[in-house]
Amino acid sequence: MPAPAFRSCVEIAHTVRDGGCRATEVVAECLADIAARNDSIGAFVETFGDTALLDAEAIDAARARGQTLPPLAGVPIAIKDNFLVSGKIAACGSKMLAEFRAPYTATVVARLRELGAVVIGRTNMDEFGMGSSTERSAFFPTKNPWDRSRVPGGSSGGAAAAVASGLCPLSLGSDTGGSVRQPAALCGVTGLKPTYGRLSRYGLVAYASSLDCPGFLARTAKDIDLAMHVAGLDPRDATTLDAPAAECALAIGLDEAASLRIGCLCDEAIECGIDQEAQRAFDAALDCWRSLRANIAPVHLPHAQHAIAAYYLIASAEASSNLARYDGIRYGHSPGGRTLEEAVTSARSEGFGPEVQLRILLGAHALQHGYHDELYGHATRVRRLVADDFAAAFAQCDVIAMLTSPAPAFPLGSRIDDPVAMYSCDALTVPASLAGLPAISFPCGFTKDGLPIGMQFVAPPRREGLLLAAAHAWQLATDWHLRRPGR
Amino acid sequence: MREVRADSLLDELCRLARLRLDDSNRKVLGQRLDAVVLSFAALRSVGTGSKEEAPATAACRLRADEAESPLSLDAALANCKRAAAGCFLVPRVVEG
Repeated sequence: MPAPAFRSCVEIAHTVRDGGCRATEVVAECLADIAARNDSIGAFVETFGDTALLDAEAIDAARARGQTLPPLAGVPIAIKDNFLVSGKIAACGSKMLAEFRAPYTATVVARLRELGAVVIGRTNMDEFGMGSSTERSAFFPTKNPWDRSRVPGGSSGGAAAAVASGLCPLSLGSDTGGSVRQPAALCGVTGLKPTYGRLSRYGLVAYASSLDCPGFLARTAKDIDLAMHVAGLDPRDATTLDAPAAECALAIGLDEAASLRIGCLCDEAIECGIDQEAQRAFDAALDCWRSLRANIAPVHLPHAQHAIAAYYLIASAEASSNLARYDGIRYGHSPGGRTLEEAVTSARSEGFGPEVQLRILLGAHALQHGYHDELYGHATRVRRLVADDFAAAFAQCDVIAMLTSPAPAFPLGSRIDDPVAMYSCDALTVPASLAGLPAISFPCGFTKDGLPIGMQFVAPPRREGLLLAAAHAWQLATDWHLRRPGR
Repeated sequence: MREVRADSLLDELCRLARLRLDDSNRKVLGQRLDAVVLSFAALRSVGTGSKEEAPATAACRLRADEAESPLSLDAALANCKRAAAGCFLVPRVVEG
């Protein structure tokens, strides 16, 4: 019997519902596995043993009373460190919030619990979501389960490493410019960034509000499909879409999914130094899609090459505004000071790490008087061009395929002092983020050194169901997603 | 795009961002900021014509905020380091 987490969410929930095992057994096994193995990976910052077992007991008690159990009953889920869970610390990977206890619970977390999922702990992340390697956590770096000398990607690196290493079957992450998809690709798991507004941001600590999206990581698209039932309108988030969760479900039959019209981004579209092994795996995956009867044709996104610059100016500008709230007065790191100005400046200078400070400065520059139209304003107009490119491309295809990451997982420490190289990791994920589009990453191959490679599909707004169906069809036809790293 | 490493510009950004950088941090962050801004230089060449600034997403329609019950006083104060008489305590602003 595999560890609970190497079983799928579908299988765990089915077994718990049928009485094949108790939720408390599943959760206890999962917690014991994390206690034994987390130190070597650094996926979890903290586990919630007491409350997780209480939640599991409640599920077992409900079953004993004869109640019908919800679809995720007994499924352990890890929560990225930037979602609020009432009474628990939500540190966002930052010294600034290292002792901050959430006063309420995020909508997506509350809805996951209503569906029967058991929150087992919080996962490591780059500070405030600003990073692509999870080396920018104030606590410790997370390691890639496939090669522990390499990064897991980021910023949801803990979430991806937890699923890939079998510490849990499902993780909640957040994706602002690729923070679910890129670590999913580097860790060999499946990751979905929904349409902007599909999942509520209430209780997700803000980084860049016009881009932030909760998203899920699991081993299979089918498991993410189960979790997407948390989608839907939330009165507490004015940007949520008024669309039923059922729209997110596997939307089409397997035959239809396999015969997709796939638009393939032309080679020269985004200059980001694509790794040759990754390119070969992608090309082989396209051949496999052809054998599944997909129609593949080139598409053009002429402004996608400028997406990185536009994204980083917009996201940093929004971050400089959102993070202005951290003054050390109401919450957060608070060294104090003789004057209010000194107290606030000390709190921010000591509480924020170097990458967060860099992005706040970049954002302040982009919004600065005299530079605003040249930098931020221009970036938002380019954002419109990128969105228009996607809309035109979707007249010719159902989904657009590209690699998720230009390269497989890179060695720890190799890019941390070079922000331009680090930002280039996001070159293929930020275009969909700027356009607010749903996108999914799923495993499509491995390098000769055994590092996973991810393929990304981007779809028109609200077509999560299509993405999940396509990835599910792929995972029925291939076994890349079933491979496991050594322990 | 201009370099931002110039002392006066970096000082102004730090003031706006309420950050205090020591000498070594100042040098490193200044260099990184310059590298990032310079790497974005090609963005200026993108013609945007009469394009309007993009909304967050075309799929999203903003609604009016709905008022919710605010946090209780205890919950609001639970995470602050210094409080007195049900208020956040800050350093004296007006001398006297």
